[in-house]
Amino acid sequence: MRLNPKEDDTQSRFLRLYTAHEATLHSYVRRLVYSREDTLDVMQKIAVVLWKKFDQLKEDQDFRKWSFAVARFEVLAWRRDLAREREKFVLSSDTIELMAGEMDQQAEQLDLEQEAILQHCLKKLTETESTALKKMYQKKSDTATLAEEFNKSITGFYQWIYRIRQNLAKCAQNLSTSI
Amino acid sequence: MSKEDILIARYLNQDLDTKETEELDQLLKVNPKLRDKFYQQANAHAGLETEFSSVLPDEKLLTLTPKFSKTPWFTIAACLVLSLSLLSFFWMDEDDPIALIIANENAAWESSLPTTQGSKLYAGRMTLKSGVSIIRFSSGAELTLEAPAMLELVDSMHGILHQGNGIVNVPDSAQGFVLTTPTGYAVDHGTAFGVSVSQDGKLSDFKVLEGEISIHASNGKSLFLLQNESASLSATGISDKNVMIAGEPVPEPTKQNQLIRFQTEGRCQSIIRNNKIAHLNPDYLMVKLDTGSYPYERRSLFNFQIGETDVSRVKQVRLRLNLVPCGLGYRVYLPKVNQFQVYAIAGFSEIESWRNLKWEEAPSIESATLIGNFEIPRSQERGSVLIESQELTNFLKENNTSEYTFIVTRQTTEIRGSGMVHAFASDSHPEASGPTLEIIF
Repeated sequence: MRLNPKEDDTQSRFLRLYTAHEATLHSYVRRLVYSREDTLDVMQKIAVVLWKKFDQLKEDQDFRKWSFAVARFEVLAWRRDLAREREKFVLSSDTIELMAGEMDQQAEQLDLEQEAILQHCLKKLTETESTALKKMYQKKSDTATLAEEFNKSITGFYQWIYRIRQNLAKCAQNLSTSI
Repeated sequence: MSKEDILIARYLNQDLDTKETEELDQLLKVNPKLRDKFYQQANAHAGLETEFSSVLPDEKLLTLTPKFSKTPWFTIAACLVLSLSLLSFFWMDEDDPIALIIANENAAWESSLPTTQGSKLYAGRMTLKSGVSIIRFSSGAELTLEAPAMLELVDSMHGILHQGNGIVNVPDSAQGFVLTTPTGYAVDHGTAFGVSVSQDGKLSDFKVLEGEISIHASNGKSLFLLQNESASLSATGISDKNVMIAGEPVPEPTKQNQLIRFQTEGRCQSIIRNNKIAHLNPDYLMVKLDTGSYPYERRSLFNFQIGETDVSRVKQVRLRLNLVPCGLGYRVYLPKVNQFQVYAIAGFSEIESWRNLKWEEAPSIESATLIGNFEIPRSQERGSVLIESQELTNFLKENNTSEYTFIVTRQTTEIRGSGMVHAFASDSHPEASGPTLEIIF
C-alpha cells in the first residue's frame, strides 16, 4: 500500500495516539457497559469515530480528553439504542451518564488498580476462590448450580463474590498508594 | 454486607430482573458512596473477566478506510506504550525490611528485589551474578557474599544460601542467626564464619573464623565448631571436624571445567520494524511480535568478540540472558506461553554504530542459523534464560572465528494489541547483567 506522504503521516500519528490510549479506553467503556460483547461493539464504533474526526483534533489538543469525550458519547448512544427488552435490565441513561462523568475523573486511578489486581492481587486468592471465579466467568454453569457446588445459598454466593472483588480492590488500592 | 451490595454483585453478573434493576438505578443516583462501591466492583469485575473468561471468538480486527485515497483498508495493530513499570515496585510487603544492601563491589544482581546500594530488602530470592556484596540483616548479622551466589531472605534472623561463598559476621544482638544451606543449617553463637555451598548444592563447607557455631545436618546430627575448625554438610550427614591453620581460605568446591565468559561491551541493540526508535530503550533488549504487518515487531541483536580464543574443541557453549520487565504493554494480552528463537551469525563486524541500528541495516534471520529455542510463560517477570544446545556449540566449533552475533526473535504473537514487550537486560541495564556467552573447555 502506497500512500502520499501527508496521508501516511496522519495515519501513523493516529495509530500512535490510538494505540497508546486503546487499553484505557477499553477499561473505561467496560466499567460502564453491560456486557463484554457490547463493550467490543462500542469500542469498534469509538475507533471509527475517532478516525473519521481525527482531522478535527487540533495539533496541541489532548488526545486522551478528546477520545474520552467520544467514548462517553458512544456509551450513551449504546444505551439509547438498546432494544426495548434488554433496556429493562440495564441501568438508566441518566445514571450511566452520571457515572460516566465520575469514572472519567477516576479513570487513571481505576486503570492503575486494575493492573495491580491482574499483576499482583490475584496471586492472593485461595484455590477455592480462584476455581469459583474461573467457573463463574467462563459461564459454563449458572449461578444456582455454582452456589450449590460451593455449598452456599445464591445470596451467600453473591456475597462471597462481592467480598472477593472488594478484597482485590483493597489490595490494589494499598499497592497504588504505596508508591 | 448490605442489600445494595448484593444488587451490585448481581447486576454485574447480569442477574437482576426489571424491578431490581430500577431499584439499583435509583439507589445509585442518590448515593455517591454506593457509586464508589460500584466503580470498585466494576473495575475488579473487568479485571477478573480479562483473567478468567475464555478468549472471545476471533478478535474483531479494527478496519478503517484511509481518508484521502481509495487505497485498500488497513488494520490497526495496536502496540500500547503505557508505562506501568511503577507496578514492579509494588511487589514488596508493607512490613519492615528484613535487610539492607550496605555495599556493592562490581555487583551484578538478578532479583525482583531492589539491588542498588542502600536498598531495603524484603523476603525473596536474589542472585549475585558477579562481584561482591554486603548485606546487613536488621538483626545486625552481616553477610558478605561472593558471586556466583543465590541467597534467599527469610527474616531478619534467617537466610538461605542456595549456592555460593560468603562470610557471616554476627554481633551479640543477632546470636542465634540461622543460615540454611541445601544440606542443613548453621546456628551462629556470636561469631564470624565462612560458608561455601557448591554449585550443585550437594556440599556446604563451614569454617569458624572466630567464636562458635553449631551445624545441623538433615539427618538430625549436629556438631559444634570452634575457631579455626571446619566441617562440611552433605546428604549423608556431617563430615569429620578439621582444624585448619588461621588465614587459610575457605575451601572452594573443586572446578572441573574451565569456563570463560564474554560480554557484549556495548555491542547490543534492539531493532524495530517501523524504525520508530522512540519505542526502544538502550537499557533493554526488546523482543516482540505484534499482529498485522508487524509494524512494532522488535528483535534484539548482540555481539561477542572472543578474539583469538580457539573454540574448535570446546566442550560446551551457553548463552545467558536476563529477563527483566520493561513496562511496555500488558502481559495478559499474551498467550500463556511465549516462544522465542535464537539465531547466530559468524562475524558481522561491518556495523558502524550499534546505537542507531536500523531494521534494514541489521542482518536478517534468513541469513542466520537457528541455534536454539526457549519459552517464557507470560506470568514470568524476571529470571535467567540459559540457551544451551548442540547447535550452538557446533556453530562456534565449525566457524571458529573471532566474533559471533546473535538475534533473538519472538515466535508467538499477542492475543490482542497492546501485548507486553519482552525485554532482556542490555549491558547498560542498571541492575541485571547483559547477555553473556559462556564457553566451557
